[in-house]
Amino acid sequence: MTHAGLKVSHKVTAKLINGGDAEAVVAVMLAANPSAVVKDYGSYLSLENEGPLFFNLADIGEELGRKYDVPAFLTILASYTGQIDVQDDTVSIAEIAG
Amino acid sequence: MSMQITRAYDRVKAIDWEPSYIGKDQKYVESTRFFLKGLKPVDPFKTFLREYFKMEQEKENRHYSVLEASSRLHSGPPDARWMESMKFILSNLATVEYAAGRQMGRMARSVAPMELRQGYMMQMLDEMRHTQLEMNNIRQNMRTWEDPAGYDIALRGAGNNVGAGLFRAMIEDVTTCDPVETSIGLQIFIETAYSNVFFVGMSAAAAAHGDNTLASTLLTIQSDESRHMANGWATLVTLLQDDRNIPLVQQALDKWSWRTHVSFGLANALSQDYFTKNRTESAKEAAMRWVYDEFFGGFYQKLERYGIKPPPRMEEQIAELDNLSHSAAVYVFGAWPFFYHRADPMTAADMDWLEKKYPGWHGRFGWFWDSYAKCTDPNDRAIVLKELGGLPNFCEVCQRPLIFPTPQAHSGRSRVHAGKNHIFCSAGCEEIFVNDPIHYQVGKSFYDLYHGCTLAEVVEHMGYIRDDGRTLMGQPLLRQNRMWTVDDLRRCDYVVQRPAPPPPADDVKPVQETAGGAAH
Repeated sequence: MTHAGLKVSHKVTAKLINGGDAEAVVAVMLAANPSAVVKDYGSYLSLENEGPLFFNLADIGEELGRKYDVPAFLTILASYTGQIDVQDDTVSIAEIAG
Repeated sequence: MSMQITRAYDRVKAIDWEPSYIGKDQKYVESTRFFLKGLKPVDPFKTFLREYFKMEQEKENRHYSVLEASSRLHSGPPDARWMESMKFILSNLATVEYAAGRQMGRMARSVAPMELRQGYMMQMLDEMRHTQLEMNNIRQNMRTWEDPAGYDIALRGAGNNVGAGLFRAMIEDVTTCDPVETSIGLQIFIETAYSNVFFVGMSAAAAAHGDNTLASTLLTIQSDESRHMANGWATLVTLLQDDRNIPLVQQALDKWSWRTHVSFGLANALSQDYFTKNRTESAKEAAMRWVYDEFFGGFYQKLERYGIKPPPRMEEQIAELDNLSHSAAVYVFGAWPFFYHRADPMTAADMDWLEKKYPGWHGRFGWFWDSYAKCTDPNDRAIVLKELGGLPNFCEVCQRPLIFPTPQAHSGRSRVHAGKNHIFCSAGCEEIFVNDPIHYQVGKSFYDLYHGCTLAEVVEHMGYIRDDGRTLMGQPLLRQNRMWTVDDLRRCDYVVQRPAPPPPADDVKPVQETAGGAAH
């Protein structure tokens, strides 16, 4: 059941400040989530998925060739849609339970 | 090796204490009408100082290296329309961020649960950082932009400009309402629903207009806003654990949905459609994507399981998007002497784009730009404000002029309260007033200060004069044979007159009183 007048969105997004880190994040995430879509707005990239986005920072570090941790990831996370959860080595964004 | 985030976070939480040397009343200072006892809050970001400073230092390093590089590389001047408009926008952003910092200090003191307080404290530091970033951006523009006049009085302009009243009224409302309601106003509506449109969406516009400094400033700020959005969500779902809070939350959501639409939403729309040249999407398209699809569809709608209903004026908000930016432009361009930037009016190409994005635009707003074009040469002694019949009334809740949805058919109205006549731009603002009239008792309005003064006297009093003591900061064109002076304004023979109040309307009833009054 939904509210009249409100169009329900199941989309989960992460807006990343464009640059080398963001490109590595997107490469890892697209490999793990083939249905995800990336839109390039110039100054930022919008990673969009109809399901949860699970960022494994070790995998991103592997892609970058250096250690990558939560503070480094949050440095480029400009915005998001969904419910975020920050753990020691992962960040996840999932649809808010309705 | 440093301790893991989750373990360190639990350890920090464990050293919270209640002071023995002052009572709870002294500690919390302000009470709240929301029920907070026994709630179990969450902080999804688990932020604490060690990680916070590491992260913020990295953000600063990245941002200031952009500024350094832009000083060295001279990649060409940014677009003039954009840079002039940012005199107005940047000055107001800096003061709004500073006020948000004050609000977080107040919330950290007034809202008891430790997990929320921790997030608010970090946000307070963020807001101070944002103020400094924006002030530094203003300084950078003063040093590098071809015409620094206006950037040099940014804070004065934010304090006394009639258009900036919109921002002042919004942020003071968030500061002075119930401290828990502050979270709903600031973190849910201003930061989750609307700040994305400007700080993320407009960062792409800044880059498209060659303003890489501001693009970097906006994005590094918004990366902090991610945590603020989480603070808002954490506060909201914590409040909704207690059924007694549901009607109180609903009332605050209803208020702030309209309140943010008429303030931040209006500023976003004006910036997107009228302060840009290399456009990608219209203000309406951006608002539909960020606010109505992502926020209302992906966030707000999920509150249904708690019994939260959609805001009653949401359809009206969406309908206003067809005219919001255009009516705002009539005001900002029409009253150009009251501002401190050079205006760049719409060209034939701009008008074609506006007609394409907003079918029927020519019929609704083309008349204004025809009048404007006839009043730009100071030798003609014609000022567009006079041709339009003068400044309108201003709303006593949001400070919008009474020209919305359109100047020809505005929804302005008045209402007598405690023996005094009050003026509102819309049913939405009248309803907000009726539910909390004491909150909106104004001191001196624009007309209390300036009724009977000439245009030249007002501009001189506001201090919008260049260093030569006679040329105006505000100009109706980017470039012209000679700029307008205060003597030109005198020759236009315009005297500020308080307009007659609009008639009352009978479509607003007070919202039924809800239970509340809980303390800590």
